[in-house]
Amino acid sequence: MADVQKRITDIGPPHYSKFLPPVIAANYGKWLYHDILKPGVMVHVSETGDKVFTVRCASPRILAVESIRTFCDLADKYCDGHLRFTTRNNVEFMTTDESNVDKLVKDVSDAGYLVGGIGNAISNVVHTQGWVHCHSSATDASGVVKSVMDELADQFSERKLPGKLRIALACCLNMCGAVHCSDIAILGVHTVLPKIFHEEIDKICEIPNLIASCPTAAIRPAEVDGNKSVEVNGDVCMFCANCYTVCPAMPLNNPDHDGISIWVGGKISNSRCAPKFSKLAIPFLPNNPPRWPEVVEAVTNIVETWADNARPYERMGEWIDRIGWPNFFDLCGLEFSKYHIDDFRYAGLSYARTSHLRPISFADAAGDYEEDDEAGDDEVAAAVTVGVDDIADFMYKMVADAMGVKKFKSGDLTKAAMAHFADQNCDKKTAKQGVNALIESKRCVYTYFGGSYIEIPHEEGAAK
Amino acid sequence: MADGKTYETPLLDELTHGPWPSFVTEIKKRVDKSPMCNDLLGQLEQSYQEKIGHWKHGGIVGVFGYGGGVIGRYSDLAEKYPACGHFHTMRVNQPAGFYYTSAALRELCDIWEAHGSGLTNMHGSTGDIVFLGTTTDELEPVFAELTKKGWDLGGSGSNVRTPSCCLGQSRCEHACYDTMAMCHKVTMQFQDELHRPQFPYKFKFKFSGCANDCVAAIARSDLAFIGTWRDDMRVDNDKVGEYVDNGLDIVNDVLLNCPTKCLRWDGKTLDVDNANCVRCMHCINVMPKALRAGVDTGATVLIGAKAPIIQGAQIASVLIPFIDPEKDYDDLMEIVDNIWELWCEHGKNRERIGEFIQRVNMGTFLEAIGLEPIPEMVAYPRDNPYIFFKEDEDEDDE
Repeated sequence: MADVQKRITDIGPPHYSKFLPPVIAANYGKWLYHDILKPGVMVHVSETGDKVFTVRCASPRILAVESIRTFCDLADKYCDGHLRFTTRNNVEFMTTDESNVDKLVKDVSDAGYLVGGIGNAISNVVHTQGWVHCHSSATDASGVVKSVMDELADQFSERKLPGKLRIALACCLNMCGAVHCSDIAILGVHTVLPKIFHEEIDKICEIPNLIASCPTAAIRPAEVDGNKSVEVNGDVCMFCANCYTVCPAMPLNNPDHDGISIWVGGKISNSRCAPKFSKLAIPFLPNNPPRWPEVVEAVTNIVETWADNARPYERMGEWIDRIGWPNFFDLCGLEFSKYHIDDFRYAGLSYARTSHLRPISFADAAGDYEEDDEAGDDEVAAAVTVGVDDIADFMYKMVADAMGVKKFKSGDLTKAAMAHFADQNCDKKTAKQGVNALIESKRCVYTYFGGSYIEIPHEEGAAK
Repeated sequence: MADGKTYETPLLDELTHGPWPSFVTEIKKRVDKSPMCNDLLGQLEQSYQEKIGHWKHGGIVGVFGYGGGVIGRYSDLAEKYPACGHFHTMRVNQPAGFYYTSAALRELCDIWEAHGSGLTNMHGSTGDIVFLGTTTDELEPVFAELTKKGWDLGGSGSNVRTPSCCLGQSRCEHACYDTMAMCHKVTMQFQDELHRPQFPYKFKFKFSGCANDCVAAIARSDLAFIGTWRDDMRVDNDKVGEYVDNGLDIVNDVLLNCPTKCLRWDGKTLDVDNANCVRCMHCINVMPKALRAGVDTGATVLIGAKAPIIQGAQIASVLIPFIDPEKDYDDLMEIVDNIWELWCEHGKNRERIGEFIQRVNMGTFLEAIGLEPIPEMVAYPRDNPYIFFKEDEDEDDE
């Protein structure tokens, strides 16, 4: 055991200067430009005339030490022992010797690692731990990434895309990565209420903390089977699982109801336009290990549709802004549902507050947007058998009895009349006629004071 | 200890096929040498069959004296897969820019292989090297060996998380300041805050050299640094002409993509309305041989990005339009101090600084940390008239 007095702490990481390839150290801050020579290979040129060639390859982010040693062997062979990783889990080998490039590309590929990811390509998929390590995952991460990228590997190893494409995956709403701002985001979701372990919850969780953790205040204290516990208001729970994060006795993981949602159009960079959040494209696809075919198909479809239609440099979100969301849903063959309309704070900010519509939106007549009217016009209304004057009298009595205590609006009177004369089939139209009769008889007048009311005429305070 | 049982893993085996590098292949590289990896594979296959994970919350384990850097993790099937009953994660603070020598990486591999699963993430989302899977007993020995070789743990919990950066001036012609130097400096400055959680919640610094933001600072850090410049863009008109001659559709791909319509090209000269250039990097991205940032470079500081939990996702917003990371470092640290003091005093549990600002409102926040409100901080001034006017206070009043 380490001697406590000699125990080393708080030393931080090693200084990066120890690890810089000589050409990098010598040209630090002096680089002039770069060219992408072929997929996964670029050259940077310095003010001094020095050049450095970079070969980039994908890693699955989970790496066995054996694989790291393989990368080290390659670095020893071609890069004087230097290598680095990128912010998106790729590996980069740098060499000043151009003749090393093709050999590196070959050796890296032979070792099983795809070369690519530079420029207008998919640059690997940032993802989380999933079932390999995480307690709160609604799906696996690595498996979905592998499945999707097996299908889209060409888009990493070649450069056929109009612009950059950043795909990211988070296995739950904690979103450990920048999933909320990705061109395509794959997000694990729960869709049913947590299971509460009532006997254990007070022992292992701090209940006030738990209640405070809910974004929609859905959790409240409750006694259940004699246990101090909580209950969840199902009407306002949206299954974010923050409660589970702070309290292990309330898991949401559910193999039958967890799944994956797909989001599009996010952007981190400020180039051309400001950053954007990812927006919902598909609310739910099932978990279908080992290859998640529904997810793969959905993502591939979106990628290909964008690739076929976007202009050069146009990221997913920029393309959608130009063609509009109706076109996007149409071109991708995706369904739009009420889930796609925001309902959290400031939801109205996302409504289309403009008349800017494209011809695709005029294809249907207005009537086609209405949901089917199930009540139908086939029913014949039963005949009204109460007279309008009787209704007016009833309403007058209602107002008089409540004078000085409560004021009634027109709607209050018609509702009350319809209820009172229900056995005589008093409908809304007739009840309204009763209001008209009441006013025309001058027994009541319309007033306005913080609302429109029907009152018995009196001299108002301001007139005195 | 596992009895060397071999698990049938038909679902996972399916993921060893295909062109993309396979994480299953990575785990399988270790099953013969590591009972932990072997049992991990078995448990993972069961997860694939059942469509549910089998890990429990953990949170007390760590190394002595530190409150972060270790994520406790326990299997809920420990009887069936005893070798991964404990599967804690250690975060090792990466060198800025993720540069390594093979010698250094081999050292890390040797340490990890001797004391843990031998599986890593290169790297975790925040930026640390992740040592994926070890037992409680091994945490101290790993830590001792790491520090002996000059490595330290990263952050986790309600503390400063490991800062990270793009590779900046080490290889990128666009970098407007030395991101790696800043990242390392800040990491060393806040070692105590990084290892010993003392905040309402996590706090992340990220440093990008330009608006391309290759470390996604604006999306996920509490304090994001994005490189910029104050003076005029540098233009080589001859080289612009070369790009056009080589087929660049300069009008559609460059001019029309400028967010503030700054560019005019008459066939010979690229006229840049520098006063309205917002340093978005697009034209420079397209024509790196012809266009460069100015020379009076520095960084914009933005505050408050976060993922959705709890109150919704946020993108960081402008706090300081321009700093020179070197000259203004001390002033910057004073502001950071003020922010933390305020947040520690008034922040709720698990309230990121971005949510805190939303709750107390930006105007109040700025007053409390000693920054003047400026129009750069808003996309547009308020459009609702509910103004909380305050009576004029005498200068002498508190």
